[in-house]
This record gives sequence, structure tokens and C-alpha cells, in this order.
Amino acid sequence: MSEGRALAWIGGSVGVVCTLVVIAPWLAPYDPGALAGPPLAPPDAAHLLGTNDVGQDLWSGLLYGVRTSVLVAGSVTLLSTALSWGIGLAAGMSRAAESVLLPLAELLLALPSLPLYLLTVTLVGPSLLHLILVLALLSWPPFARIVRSLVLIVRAAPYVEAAQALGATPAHIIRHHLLPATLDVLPTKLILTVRFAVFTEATLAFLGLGDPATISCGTMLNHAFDDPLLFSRPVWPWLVLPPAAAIVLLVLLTVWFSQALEGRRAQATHVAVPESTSSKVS
Amino acid sequence: MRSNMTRRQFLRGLAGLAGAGVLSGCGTAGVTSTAGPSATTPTIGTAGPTTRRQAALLRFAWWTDVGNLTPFQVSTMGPGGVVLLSLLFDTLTWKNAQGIIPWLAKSWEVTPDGRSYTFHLVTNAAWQDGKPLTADDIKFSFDYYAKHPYRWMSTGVVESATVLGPGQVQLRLKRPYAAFLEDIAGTVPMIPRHIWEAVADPVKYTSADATLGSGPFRFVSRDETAGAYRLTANPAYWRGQPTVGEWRQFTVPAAARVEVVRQGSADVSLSSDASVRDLLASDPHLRIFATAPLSIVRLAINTTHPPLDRKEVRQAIAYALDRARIATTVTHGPAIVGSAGVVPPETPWYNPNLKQYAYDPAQAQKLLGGQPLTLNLIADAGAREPELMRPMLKAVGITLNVQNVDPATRNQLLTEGNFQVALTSHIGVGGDPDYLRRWYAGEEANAFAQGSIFHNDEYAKLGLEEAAALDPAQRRAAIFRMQEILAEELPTIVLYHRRFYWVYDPAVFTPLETAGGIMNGIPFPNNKLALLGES
Amino acid sequence: MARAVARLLIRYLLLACGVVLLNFLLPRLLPGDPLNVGAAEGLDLGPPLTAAAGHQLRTYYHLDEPPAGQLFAYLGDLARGDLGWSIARSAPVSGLLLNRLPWTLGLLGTTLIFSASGGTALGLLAGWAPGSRRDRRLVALMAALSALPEFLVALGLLLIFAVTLRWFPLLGGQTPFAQYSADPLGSGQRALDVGLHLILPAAALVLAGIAGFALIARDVTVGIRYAPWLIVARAKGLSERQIAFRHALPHLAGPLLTYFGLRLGAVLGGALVVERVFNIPGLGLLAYEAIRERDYPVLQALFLLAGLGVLAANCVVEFLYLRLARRQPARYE
Repeated sequence: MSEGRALAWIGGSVGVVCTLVVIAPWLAPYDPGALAGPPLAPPDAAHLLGTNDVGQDLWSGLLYGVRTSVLVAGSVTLLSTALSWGIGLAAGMSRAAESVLLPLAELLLALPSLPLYLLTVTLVGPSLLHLILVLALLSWPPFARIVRSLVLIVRAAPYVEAAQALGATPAHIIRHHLLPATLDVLPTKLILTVRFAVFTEATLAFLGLGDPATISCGTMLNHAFDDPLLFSRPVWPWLVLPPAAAIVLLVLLTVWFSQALEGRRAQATHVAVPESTSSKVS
Repeated sequence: MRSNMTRRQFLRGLAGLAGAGVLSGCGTAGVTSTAGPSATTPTIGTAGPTTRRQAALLRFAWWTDVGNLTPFQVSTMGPGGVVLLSLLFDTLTWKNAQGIIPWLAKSWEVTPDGRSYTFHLVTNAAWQDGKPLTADDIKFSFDYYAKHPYRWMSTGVVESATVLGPGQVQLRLKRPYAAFLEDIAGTVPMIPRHIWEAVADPVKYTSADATLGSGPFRFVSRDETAGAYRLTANPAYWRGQPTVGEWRQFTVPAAARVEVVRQGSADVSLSSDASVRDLLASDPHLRIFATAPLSIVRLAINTTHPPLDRKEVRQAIAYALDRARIATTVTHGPAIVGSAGVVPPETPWYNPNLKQYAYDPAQAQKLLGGQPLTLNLIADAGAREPELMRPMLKAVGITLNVQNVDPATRNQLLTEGNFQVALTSHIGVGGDPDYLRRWYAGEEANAFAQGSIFHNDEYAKLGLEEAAALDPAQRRAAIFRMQEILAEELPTIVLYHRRFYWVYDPAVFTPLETAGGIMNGIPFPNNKLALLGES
Repeated sequence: MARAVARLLIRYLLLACGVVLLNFLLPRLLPGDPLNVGAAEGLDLGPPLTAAAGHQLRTYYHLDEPPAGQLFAYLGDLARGDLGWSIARSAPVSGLLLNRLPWTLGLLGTTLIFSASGGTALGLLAGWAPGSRRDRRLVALMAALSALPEFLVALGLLLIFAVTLRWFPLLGGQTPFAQYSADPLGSGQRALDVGLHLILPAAALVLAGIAGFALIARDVTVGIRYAPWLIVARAKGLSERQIAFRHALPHLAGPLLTYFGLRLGAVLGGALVVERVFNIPGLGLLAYEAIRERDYPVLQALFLLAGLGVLAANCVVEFLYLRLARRQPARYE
């Protein structure tokens, strides 16, 4: 398959997912919270993916669940990226900022991530907003460190020193010299954070720390595994597989999309995500 | 099913052999001797001649580790620990299917003021190290608990314990307490003086003799990581040798609990999902025992918080909820709609003639007077009821916001009174009904009083009357009236009462329903009487 | 070099102090009371303790002291090497950790060895011929694997191989109550039993972790394929295999080591989820339960262990990096 066609396919799929997310409320045959049928009904014409333990329509749930995952992924990625860059630039520009922010980053990196999220979400209570904030506020350190180190390298470059000597303001230097130098790692950060957000939201929901008011792929899985008879009756294929597949597909699409973009941009052999920069984000 | 059966028997055979110490690392021998095509239930038990039907081994799949099996280290998170502890330690009284029966005390008298109980002990009771159990031990136990509280049940009402003579001990109470025989004498384990009198810090006492009691089973070992316990029968038990040779208990997560019994790696377990009955209907080797509905799922309401301070609003909520539908949907079984008086049906203190709130949205709207409301509900993660309640309340103009918290956070919010409505589900409502008073008396330090904010003078007065009543008829009248007040005022709305479905192998276990639940209302069918072949 | 090492050590020492303080603070910020945590599944039955008895217990666990006093007591205990007494489990915390450490270390050790070695091999294989069919397939496979969170892999393996096919046990780290004889045959049986229980969880962690290693190894391999020393090596007539193992592999060490260190924290998280799914009695499961139980001493000790572990690992990695950086130029001479 040629690069162009791959990109078209993947781009198309991303488009389809985005459309689905936007029109989910019109597409869903039932209110995902409503008792739409008998409990644990297998998939049929009325319920494309069957119903869950209390009789909610799983196809409707899935549409809304993917919506939640996309929302969380988008918000966390934006916030976390902004934080990483803001803090990284600040730490790279000012020694005072560095002496505060760098130890904080290292401290956050030292604590085991998942128990830390569990603890924090238990602390603030699991609502979607809290979840987004917690994930964003605790996931900036790795790339803040990377951005800082890039800034330090560029700042030492002769042309930046020359610009400084010529009286360029710090804002000018950041905008025209430092920021562009850090943009190479931006796509990596975006992909990794999308993956991180989708994974962590699902994992926390699976561990019982999801927002009860919003259905997500993770809460669907959690409900499936709360069923005390899950292992004893053959219902798990339609309770577990669709939300699991949705999570995988979301992350895969993000990765493929960025790979295809990158491939087109560079036409180079450097296809894969440079995971060495991923640090704890996984 | 067929292959399932042979696998089960095969595994039990293996386990039995291992238990009897026959399996000495030679797996193949075990296979050929038990997995033959004509294998029936293998005869297990090489312990010697027995007169009663003996099960060598009973394996129970429970949901958590329950701590060290001493009265000071047992876990009080859920009832698993104290029930297991009751196999090692005895109490003064006990309960069977009909009610309170003598245990370590063969008889007792109470003074007319209701404050002094004289217990006459059985003469043949002994500690598992052979030393006789005496009145001295009983006195010592209560004295010791005054300094080092038993965490499952406070003995604070006991003022003093005095030895009156051989086998005679008198307990003096601070005030008359009607629940004493069931809730304290029948719940608090008696400990040997010769071991504990030298122990200054029982919470950290871990010597081997810490688990030594007078009960029908001896502690053998515990694997703390797997939450696994081994107990063996005490052949010298003063009430006779247990019919089960060894009790093994281990931890299994919810989703696998029934499956481990089906696959043959456990003999007894439980589920709260009624559909387990259909699931196992075709299994000829397993049976289901449905307990009395001693677990309640209820809304605790903060009656000081407007608009919930108006009883019309609370009643409107009760009318608005189709509780039968909620119960059936969640439990997958027939609904036992919550009694407005809290005490569950099928228990001795249940008042059947109460104002009940059958599903009636029109009545709810009338009571609300067309005013839209917003309520905040605290619920545990994974609770399904809030989702079911939301549309029902919406239909009468109440918007429900659900706040999902873990049990510890929930308890904190409830204890602080920092909530509007809270969904909680718990047991402890089958036994002595004094909890009706205690919930609302404000003297409890913990979860039992969760979210019980309700002030009613008549109710408080009746509570004092009921707690001190010596005449059963008078007490019954007070308890029934208290239920009427609860039903009218609704400081808590019981959504439904819940049964537990115990899955068991009838070859090794015979369930026994205890009147109002074991001790203070625990819906377990493994009352130690059942393991002694009594009923 | 000596100054750099000293700076490194001081920095990590300060971080360790920060970790200790956070350990103390975080659990106590949680809402809830260790003596009143409640149970789940409708089997909750808060024991009817009177206020007086509750107070006695509170005093016993020093929960009624002001936070500063508790902090000093904690630091004092820590200095004496005492990790405290678990409130929920009524056992010494050090004992609880020691009982669980082998499970988690065993699981993580196996996992890291397999995912690092397997990943490196796959990465080399792919990166040696960039753009080839083999490369494209491997990269696609690794991308797909990296889209699988640990808990999903674990659930999938559990449902397929343990629940449906019944090839492996459903849960736990070993068969409960199994008794093994003391002779070598017995310990062999025990190892077999534990192995059978740990195959699925370890496989889940390897599957979820291998992609990261493979992709890095591939990238680095692609980067060095046309390095001058490789061309020299080829000119000397060494076979491709010899070149790959003797010359390319050492170059992968640096980046992979860094990734290894950085992965540690995340791997611990993965272990938590996998231990929860399979009910393996490891540190992750203990952490999950201790959070629910508000068991401050256990939480403190766990975060301390994990935090210091990650710090120590990172410190070692940075130290190795310092030495590697010093030695690197020599190879080009």
C-alpha cells in the first residue's frame, strides 16, 4: 500500500471516529442509562451488541463511552502538553524556576504512577473533570524535562547568544528560537499522551475509580467485571470485547495517523515513535 | 457437565488425599486411583472410626483476608473474620434456628432490675491446651476487654464481672440492656486467662497460643498473602467432635467465587446474584441455599438538610422509586421491597403492619407540590442503583446528582453529616433490634450509625424504653412502635432487602439458617452448630 | 567525574527526603478513617463500637495526635528501621512487604528480562533492514501491541486461557493449601505450580511492555547502520551476525538502559493492575487494598519502597551513563 493511500485510509478512519463521537447522541438507539431490554441479552437486531447486567443497551453505551475517552484524551493531551512546554521553557530560561520545578518533576517521576493516580483520584473524588485535571497535572514531568534540556542546548548556540547580544527580548527569543527547536518532539508528546490518557482513564475506571455519571469504555469494563458470575456464564464476549476493542482502536488510530503523517512529511525511514522519550508515559 | 463432574471429583479426591498426607509427591498414583470411569464420590477421611457422617475437608471461598484469628487482631472489615473466629472461640450464649440457646453458660438468671446476670457454666468446657475453662476466665475476659476493646462488639455496658463460686459468674451492667444476651453474651469471645493475663499489648501479640480458644476448631496455619486459613477439628471439643475434619478458607475475587466451586477447587461460597440458581440448576452436585434477607440496601437521608428536613419530600422520594424494579434488576431475583420500618421481613422483630410506600409517582408529585428539586447522592463505586433511580426521580421532577466514592470516604462523609442522601448497603439488621435505637442515639463511634441524622422525641424515648425493657411483650410493643415512626418519618428509605445465595456441595456441608443471623445479624449458613452435626 | 558523581548523589539524597515527606503526607490527605473504612458487596457491618472504645483505639494507633507529632514519630521509627504496624491487617508492615516482595519482584524480573531481551532482538531484526517487509511487519505488530493497556491484555489472557479453555489456574500465585514434600521433587512441584500460575500474568506484562523496547532498539539500529565503524567492520569481512552482536548491540545499551530506568515506575503500575486481575499477592495488590483500607503505615512503606527503588534505579542508570559517556569516545579512535 502506498504512503498516500495509507494516509487516506487512516485519515478516513479518524474522520469516521470523530464523526461518530460528535453524532453519538443521534446515532445511539437508546439512552445509554435507560433499561432498554432484558438483562444480559445476547446481541440481536434490537440490541446490536446485546445488553448488560441491568439491561442497558451496550451499543449505545459504547458510542457514548468512546465519546468520553476521546474527550478525556483530547483535554488531557492539550493541558498536559501546555504544562510540559510552559514548565520546560520556564525551567530552561530561568534558574529560579528551574530550582523549583525540576525537583518537583523528579519527585513526581519517582513515585509509582498508578498508585499515585489511584490515591489522588480517591482524594479528590472521581468526576470526569477531576480525572482530566489529575491526569494532566501529574503527566507533565517527562516532557518538561526534555523541553528544558532542548532549551538549554539551543540557548547555548552561537546564533541565540548573538540575538541576545543584539538586544532581543526573552519573548522574542522564545518565540523565534527556542520554541521552534522543541517542536520536533511535539508529535511524540501528543501521541504518547493520547495513549496515556486513554489507558489511564480506562485503567482507573476498571479499578472502580471512574466517574459514575459518564459512561466510558473503562466503566463498561468495570461493570462487566463486577458481575459476580462473569466467569460462570458465557456473557463476557459481548460485555468485554466491544469496549476493549474500542480502546485499542482509538490508540492504534492515533499512532497510525501520526505515523502516516510523519511518513509523508519526512518520507524517511524513521517511522516509529521514538519511545525513548516516553519515560513514564505508558 | 459430565466432564465437569469427573473433574470435580478428581480434584476433591486429590485434595482429600493431600489432606490425609497420602499424596507424597507422586501425582500419577492419585490420578489412576480416583479418576476411573466408575468413580463415585471418593470416600475420604482416614482419621479413624467415626459414628457420624464425616467430611474430611471443607473448603470455603471468601472474599478477603480476615486478619489474625485472635479477638484483638481479627479484621472487622466485613463479617468473615468474626465468623471464622467463632470456630476457635466460644461465647456464653449462642443462637440456633429458633433463637438464643445456652452455650458456655448452661443457664442464667437476671435480677429484676435487669442489671445483674448470673451465668452457670457448663462443667466440661476446656481450652484447647487441656486446661479447664472456669468462671475465672469469663471474669478475666470481660475485665480484659474493658482495657482492650473487642472491635466487633463493645462491652462498654458491662460495669463489672464477679466470680460467685465454681462455674458461676455474675456480670453487672451499667444499665439494664435488653440486647445483652444476644449482642454481648452471644457475640463476645471468651479468652483464656492463663495466656492473656501476661499480655500487655494484645494488638501486637502474635505467639502461637494467641489463637487458642475453647472452640470446636484449632488454628493450624494462615497464609497471609493468599488470605488462606487452615483449621482442624478439635477432637476433645466439649460439645462433641465436629463433623468436619478440616476447615480451609481462602480468598477469591467476586467474579471467580462461584466458578471455583463449579470447577471443584472449593466446596462452599456465596453470591449476591440470584441468577446463580438458574445457572446451577442443572448441576447435580451443587446446591444453593438462599439466606433470609438480612442485607439491606437503603438511602440514608440527612434530615437536617433542606428540603429533606420535610417528611413530605422524603415520602415523595419513597413513592417515586419503583423499588421492586430496582431490586429485581440489580439482584436478578424476586424483589423483597424494603420495609419502611427497616427491620427485614422473615425475621423475629419485623412489624408487618406498617405504612408502606408502593410505587406511586402521582402521589410523589402531589407531595412535592410541583416544585423541582436537585438532590446529591453519595454512592459506592460500582453500585447500580443510582442509575436506575435517576430516571424514576426525574419523572417526578427530582434531578439526581451522583457522587461516586469509595467506602472509607462514604463513611467519613456520613459520620460528618456532610451529605444529602447516601446509598449504603450492609448487614446487621437481622439480630437484636436494638440497632434501631443505636443508629439514632448518637453514641456510636463508627459506621453503624452512618448518616443517621434523625431527631424525634417519641422515638428516642421508645428507644430507651426498649433497651431497658425486661418484659418481652413490652419490648416488642416498643420496637413495633419505633418501626411505625420510622415508616412515617422515613429518616432512611430501604430500597430492598437482599438474600445471599450460598453455593455448596451437599456431600460436605449442610447449611443452617440462624434466627436473625449468626451473632449480631450475619447471614452465614455456617453456624458452628452445622459443623457439629447439631441443628 | 568525582564532582559529577557527588552532585548526582546529593541531588538524589534530597529527592529521597522529598519522597519520605510525600509518603507521610499523601495517605493522610485521603478522606476517611483507618478505623472506619467499611466493606463492599453489601456485607458491610460496621462493628457497633461505642465512642469510648473508638477513642481507645484511636489513641492506640496515635491517630489523635497532631500531624507534626505523627510525622516525628514516623521519622523516628524510620530511623530505627521500623516500618510500623498495619492497622487493617494487624501485622508488622515489614513482614507484609517481605511476604509480597518475591511475588512482585519475580513477576517484574521475568517480565523485564523477557521484554527487554525480546524487544532488543526484534528491534535489531527490524532495524537491520529498514523499510523491508520484515521491518514493516514488525513495526506494525509492535505498534499494535503498544496500543494494548496491561489490564486489557491481562483480562484477555485470563478470559481465554483460564476461564474458557481452563489451561491455567483462575487466580492466585499458587494453589492454596498445596503441600509439597521437602525433597527436591517437592520443590520442583512447587516451582511448577507457581510457574503455572504466573505464566499468564507475566505474559500479559511482557506483551504490554515489549513494544517499547523493540521500537527503541529499532530506531537506534537504524541510526547506526551506516556509521563509519560499521562500514569498517563490514570491510573487514565480518558477517552480518557478528557485526550485529559484537558491534551494534553495545550501542543499544545506553538508550535501552535509560528507557529501562524510566519504565520502572510505570512497570510497577502495570504490576498493580495485573496482580489485581489475577489476584497475585504482590505489592501492587497490597497497595490497591491499602488505599481502600486507609492503612497509613502500609501505604507509607509501599510508596517509600517504590519511590526509593525508582530513585535508586535512576541514580544507577545516570551513574552508568556518566561512565558510558566517558568511555564512548574511545571506541571511535
